[in-house]
Amino acid sequence: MSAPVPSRPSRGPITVEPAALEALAAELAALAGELAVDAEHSESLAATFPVALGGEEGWVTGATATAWAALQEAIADRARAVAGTLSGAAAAYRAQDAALSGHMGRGRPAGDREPR
Amino acid sequence: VSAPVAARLSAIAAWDVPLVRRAVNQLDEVAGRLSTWRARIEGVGRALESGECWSGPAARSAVGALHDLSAVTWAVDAGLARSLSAYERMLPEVATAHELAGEARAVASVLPEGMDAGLSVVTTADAALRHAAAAAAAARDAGDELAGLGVRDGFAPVDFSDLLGHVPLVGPVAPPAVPVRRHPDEVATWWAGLSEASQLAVISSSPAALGALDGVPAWARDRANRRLLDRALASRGLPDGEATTARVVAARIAAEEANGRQVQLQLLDLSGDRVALALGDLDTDDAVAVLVPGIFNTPGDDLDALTGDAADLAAATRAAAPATAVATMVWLGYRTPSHLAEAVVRTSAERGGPALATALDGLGAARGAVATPAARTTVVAHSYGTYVVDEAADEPGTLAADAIVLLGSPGMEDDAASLDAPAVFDAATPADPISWAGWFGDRHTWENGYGSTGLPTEAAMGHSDYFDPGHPTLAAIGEVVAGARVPE
Repeated sequence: MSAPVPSRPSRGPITVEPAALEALAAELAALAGELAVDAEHSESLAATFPVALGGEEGWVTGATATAWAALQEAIADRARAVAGTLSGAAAAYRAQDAALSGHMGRGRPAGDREPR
Repeated sequence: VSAPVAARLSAIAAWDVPLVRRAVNQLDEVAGRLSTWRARIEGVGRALESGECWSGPAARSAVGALHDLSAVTWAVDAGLARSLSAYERMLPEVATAHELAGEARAVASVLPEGMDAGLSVVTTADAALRHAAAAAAAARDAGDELAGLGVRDGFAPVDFSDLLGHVPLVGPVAPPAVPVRRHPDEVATWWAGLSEASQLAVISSSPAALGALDGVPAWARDRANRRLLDRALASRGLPDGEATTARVVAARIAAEEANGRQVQLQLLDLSGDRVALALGDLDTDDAVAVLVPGIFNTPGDDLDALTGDAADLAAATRAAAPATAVATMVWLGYRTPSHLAEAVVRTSAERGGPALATALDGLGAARGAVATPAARTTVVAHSYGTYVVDEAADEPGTLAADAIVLLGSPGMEDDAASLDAPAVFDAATPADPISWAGWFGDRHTWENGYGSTGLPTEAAMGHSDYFDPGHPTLAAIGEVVAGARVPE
């Protein structure tokens, strides 16, 4: 479908296939979820090092594994945010198309609204 | 042994080595999944970049965001790999220190003070402390390896924006050298380790080398070969035959894509008259069929018809298993015999066999490097193409195919078991004189002793009818490709 005219002139066409875009958003969201699970796993592993080693070695290795988890979580959060942007875009295009369609429909004579 | 040393030895002896080992092994698994994850994110990025589902300024911004995500993930992946390496260096030091500390404490506990044997306790204790120090150093290294990502004293960047500030995203990327004469597994590992920017740079800088390199994912080979195709189409100095082939390939791709089919150009060697063209996604589809044609087939003259066979086979596969995603590839990766004098010698097959074996290895390796599930792979060879399979099976190692289908074979050197495939099927008919020829071996595939499973045929089917949807063989081949036909 064609999208509404953008507020600023664009050099190329603007097109969107909401269903396909939503599918990509869903895939991205699923990927974000998988990485978030791995981040939680790293966090739980971080807790085992102080137990297994104690002392400085336990603290250092645990802190590093915690950093692993934080790095993974940062990436997962970003993937989730991009997924949200994609699904939001698809929803916005659908909503705006529906609004435009409704707006144009209101311009028709009342007698034409129902087929005879 | 002083009191502080005794306390330290006691602490080391209390280390839970199996627990540490388990934790490091699990970090290894977590790290391994990140490179696969990056490959999948990049797949989403490519789908978005194609503009098929969204185009315009906002779409370009989203593509940029995914490029950033990929670049940061690559940097984190590399950092975690270095950190993991330090964790792994730590493991044997932890184990040895723990063992020696336990030994020193045990001996010390049974020795009266002042005896000579006490010296050995001190020596063992010293060794335990040295290994413990090495373990501590490796533990610090595991953290230090993340410094480039902004990790300090175990504290990581607070969010993606903060992390992004530590990863260089701009600036020219020097294309890496393309590996030469390496096994597809090594090629696939090399490719998977490159950042997305480096991958795109090498596609641009070395399309000829990359487009023919087995082990590189299909999407990347497709991009490289399309660059070669564009160059060929724009060139005015190309020999007529090569120019014709380039036009045929381009037209075929355009026609298939106009029909809504995904096309991957896997090989474009115009001077060698070799082309491989796939319908579907060789990187992700559940089933892959590789069609190996026989004599007198050239890309310029026969690609259209062969691609039609590939499309018909894909349809037959989907009919057999509707939920199966299938890719079918016309593999003209060898120069087929172009006249009878060539057709009665094995020279072409001897060149094509190793190339086919490597191509099959490459398909598996490209997936394996990013932990994508392997496809069910079927080689469907026709006529002289069955010799090529024969030669491919002679290569070292096992042929990377789940099933082999031999159609109208003029005879094989040895029995079906010699092909080293889990399942071998064949089709031959009384009306196909080639299948009686026995030119290159006295093992007729239709004889009981050969050991293959016969596919349904009709007596009147000729040598060129096996892919004809009007006869029963094609549907049966589709079942083989889908894994729905059980060998006898």
